[in-house]
Amino acid sequence: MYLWKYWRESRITFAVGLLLVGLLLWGVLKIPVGSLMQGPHDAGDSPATIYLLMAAPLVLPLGFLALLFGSFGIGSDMGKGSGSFLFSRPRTRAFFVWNDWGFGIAQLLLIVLAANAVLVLAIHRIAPGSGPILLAGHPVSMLSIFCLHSTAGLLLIGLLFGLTYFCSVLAKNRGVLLAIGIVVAYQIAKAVVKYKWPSITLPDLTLTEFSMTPQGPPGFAKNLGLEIGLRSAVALAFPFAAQLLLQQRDID
Amino acid sequence: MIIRVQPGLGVPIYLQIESQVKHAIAAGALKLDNALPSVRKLAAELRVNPNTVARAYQNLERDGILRTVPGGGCYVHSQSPGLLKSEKLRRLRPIAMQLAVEAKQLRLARAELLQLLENSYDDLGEAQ
Amino acid sequence: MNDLAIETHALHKHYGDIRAVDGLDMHVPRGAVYGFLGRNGAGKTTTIRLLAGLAHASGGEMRVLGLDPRVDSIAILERTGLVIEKMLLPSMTGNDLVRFNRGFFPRWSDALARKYAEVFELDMTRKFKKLSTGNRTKLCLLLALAQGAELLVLDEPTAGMDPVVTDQLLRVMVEDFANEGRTLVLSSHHLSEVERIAEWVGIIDQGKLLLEARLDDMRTNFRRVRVVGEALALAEWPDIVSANTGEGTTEYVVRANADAFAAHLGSQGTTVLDVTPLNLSEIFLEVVGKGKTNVPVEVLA
Repeated sequence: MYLWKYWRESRITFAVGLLLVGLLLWGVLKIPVGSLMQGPHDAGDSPATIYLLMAAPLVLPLGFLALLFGSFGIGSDMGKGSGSFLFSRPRTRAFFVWNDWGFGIAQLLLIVLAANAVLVLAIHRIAPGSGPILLAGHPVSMLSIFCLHSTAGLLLIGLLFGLTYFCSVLAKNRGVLLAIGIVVAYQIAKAVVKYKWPSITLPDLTLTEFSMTPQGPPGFAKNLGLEIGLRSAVALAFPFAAQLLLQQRDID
Repeated sequence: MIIRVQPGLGVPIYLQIESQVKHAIAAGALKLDNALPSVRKLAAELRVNPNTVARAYQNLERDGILRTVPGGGCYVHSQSPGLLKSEKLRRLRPIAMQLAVEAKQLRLARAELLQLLENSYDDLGEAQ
Repeated sequence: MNDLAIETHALHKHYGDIRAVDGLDMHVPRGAVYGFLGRNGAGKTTTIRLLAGLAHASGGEMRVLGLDPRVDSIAILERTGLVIEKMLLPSMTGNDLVRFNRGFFPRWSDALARKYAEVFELDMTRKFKKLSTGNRTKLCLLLALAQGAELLVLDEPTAGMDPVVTDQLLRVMVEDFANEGRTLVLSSHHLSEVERIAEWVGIIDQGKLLLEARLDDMRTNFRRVRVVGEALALAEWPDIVSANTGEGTTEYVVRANADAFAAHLGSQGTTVLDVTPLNLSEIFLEVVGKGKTNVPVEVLA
């Protein structure tokens, strides 16, 4: 019954999200594929390569959806004054946090998967090509790239969704603004650090899956496994932090 | 509605109920073997705690004014509580004192006061 | 297993310098109707939030149904119906809220929910945010009552309610809760309602419980003793709560042993005018220290 409540809050955003991502991708794929093949990367015109390049437009809409979803759940309830009622139901603080977070992540994961599936299908229609491409000497199938892109998408979602969720528990109605502020501030900080101390690079919000060099074929980014692990940990840290915050605080 | 109480009087509600029942019996509104409303019903009607009503009924039963029947239900038992005369007089003393004080204040003569008392007693009719 | 539904010992809650609860010792017997009385800001709501596990105590001990809210909050909440803030989930209707709430409580009764919806004359298809204050409170009460709780704690349930609705509520309290072995704690500053149904009363002021007693005992023991003359010679008598002098008389309010006091005064040659009872409102004012016996009637309205 608690998940039903979350579903009521999120279902419209979920449906719209699915629709928008689908539309966006359909729109993006109208761009002549050929034009994208000029430029520094010269890896041939196999569908997988196109897929590699085409994932970029997903970042902004997914990020936006993640921010929106982060505002659902107990943060917004507390903002409306329902905190007293909710937390006097016989459930732990952890119950509320993880139900919110879990259901939100599940919905977002579906959107990520759907987006990637649409992308794959569309690319196959445009360029039904031969199979795998070579990455650093290994053949890599569309399916593996699908999984990798989905993972990258999920990690981005996890980061932004978790951040926004934590912020909305912290700052209630101003949570989303706080999260946006933090993201913007981080991007600025990254640029500043890059400028002043060129040898230090703060990590991107998105996972770098491949290393693209001007010459030669693309390969997997080094330490990919480690990156995925660390980013997962950071993404999970946010709901834990939200849980801890709620356990410490008085509910008003 | 035979019984009415005023919670804001500063007099315990159970005492008010007891005195209302006695008054009703004395005035003939309640006769021997009449049934009184159940504890729950009266409490709900009066919007008072059922324990208060229960206490009043218990006291009235102890004094022999009401009797309860094993299946439930409270009935008027007898109009005269089974008390010693000295106890009866003791209970009436504060009220009598009040009357006397008032009468003195109003400069009512002793005979006039007695007459007043007799009239009130007679007004209650043959409900004895 | 003791017979107190709620028990606190030296309970403290501080917000910086503010001592919202300042050494509270409270005892609510099981099965009783307990009136938790205090002015606005006296600490009633804070105390209730501490007992419900919504706020963390700064010190002291508490037990609800024998359990410690710091440790067993969930078990307490399963058996306790609470109405504190009168805000539920704004975009849900009454029926939605019943559906939402039902799953949390094993002893939930849909039949009771329907019954109260009828008694309270609630439109269960209207969204909560569209309901009036009185109806909102009634819906909050409906949820708490249909839960099948053994302890009900209501924070100012009649605040903002008109007399008709208040009366409906009192009737429900009496019929369905009092004397069923279940405990009812009503916090309020509407003394006339509490006076009807409470068996026990706790008067809280500035975070401390100033008086906790059976209401009937308070009615029997608190007396106003008026004497002729303006001498306040007997301020040392232990049961005196207050003494006021003026207009040729002195008034003492005592919390017990009024007859002995009056006799004592008489033996000193003082003429006792009368010994009269006080109602709950008067007792409250005396205990909280704001009792004034010469306030014009218009102000009291």
